[in-house]
Amino acid sequence: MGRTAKFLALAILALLLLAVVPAALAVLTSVESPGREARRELAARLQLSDLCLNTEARYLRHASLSDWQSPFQEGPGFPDLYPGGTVIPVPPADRIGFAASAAPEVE
Amino acid sequence: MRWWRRQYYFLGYALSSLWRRRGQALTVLVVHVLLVGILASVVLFTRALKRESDLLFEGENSCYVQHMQGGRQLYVPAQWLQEVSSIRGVSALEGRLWGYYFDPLTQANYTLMATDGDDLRAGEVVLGAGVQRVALLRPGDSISFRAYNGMDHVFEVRRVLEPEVDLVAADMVLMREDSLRALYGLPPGVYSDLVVTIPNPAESVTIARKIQERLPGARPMLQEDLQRSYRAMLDWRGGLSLFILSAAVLSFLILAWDRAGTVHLKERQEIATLKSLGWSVDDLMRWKQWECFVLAGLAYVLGLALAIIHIGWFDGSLLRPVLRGWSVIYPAYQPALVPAWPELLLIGALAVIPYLLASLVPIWRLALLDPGETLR
Repeated sequence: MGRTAKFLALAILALLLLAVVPAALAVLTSVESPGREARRELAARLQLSDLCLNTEARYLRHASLSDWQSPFQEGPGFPDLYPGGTVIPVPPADRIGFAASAAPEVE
Repeated sequence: MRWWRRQYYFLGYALSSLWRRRGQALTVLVVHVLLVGILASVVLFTRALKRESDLLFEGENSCYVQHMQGGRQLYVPAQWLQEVSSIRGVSALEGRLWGYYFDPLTQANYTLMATDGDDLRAGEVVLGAGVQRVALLRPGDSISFRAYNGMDHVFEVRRVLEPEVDLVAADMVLMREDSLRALYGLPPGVYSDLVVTIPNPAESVTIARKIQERLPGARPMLQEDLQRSYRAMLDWRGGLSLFILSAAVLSFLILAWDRAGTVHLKERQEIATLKSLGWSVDDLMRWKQWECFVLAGLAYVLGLALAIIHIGWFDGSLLRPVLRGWSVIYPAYQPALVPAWPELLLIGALAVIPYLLASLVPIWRLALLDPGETLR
């Protein structure tokens, strides 16, 4: 009898745990990051284009405005030496503003 | 009904056998929890930033225009403004004036930007909270910048931006346009880049092409492309982290295989005894299945909880150094949790299924043998 009770208690605990964590995530996801409105307002006022994730180098600070040349501007064969360049890659080249051939056709 | 009862007893037996080998079970559980926790943290953090960039820069349909020559960005000449504003479909056009400044004192890069807001007087600046943190300045203090000609320009700090806007402006120094022109030595009418507002999104590609045709050296970039870049960038970042972490997944699998593969003598004895008592291979497998499910399920849920705490309470503090690299200024930012269920369930599958296989195969091989042979 004691064993059954123990087992039932464990099973109920496990079920609770299984239910509680996803439920907690569901509730917590409804909480917005504080200050988003202030950020939006500032980004619109100054017409900002980028998140300030990394301030090591120009092309990492404004990564989306960057191109495939800017990380290698210091000289021919000069590598991209900032660690942030590993996790913040260059923007995709198929967008307009890269080589003219890469831009979508317009009739 | 019978089926449920049988499962109930198997589960009970699995729990008690886990309890008997609690040391071993705990080791596997801890490693498993950490693995799920780290993977889920990467997913939650990446998704939070993605959502942030999506929400921040959506809205107005605009196009940034840069002036490029020889792979380098130049200032936009004054006549470009008239040229671009004469294109049909452009509703507003604004020149942005901004640039970078390396402060030798703090060893940090700032982004200097001209603004006509904040009622700034000549000689006043507004600092981003990140600049304030490294330069240790308060409103009323003075900050000096070395101009293009070597002259020091001294500014008074008017105010500091709230830390909550750090994610877009941690490294910003805002000043009046004439102050910035004097600092950079720029004549009037010249801008760093242009922001073109295009009310009709269907026209944006046409207008971007027109800008390219009329102004050789112009590099137009559509807002939607910039946002796409961000999504791609964060996908890459998440993917890269997961790729590096796959080494952890592999070593966990090796651990699980090793733990389960070299079945302990006691466990061999247990299997042999159960089999000689009349347990079928199917029964033995059911028992082990329950053991794995309990362990892996518990590990998944606890790992998820770990990730939620890491991202929700500690703002992803373990992942931040990877993103900021050598940056001196980086944003204070509280990520919002995003319900990234598809990715989180995928992590669950990755954490449970290989572990299940690694544990069940050796037991199955053992269960097929004759009990006497197993004991020997």
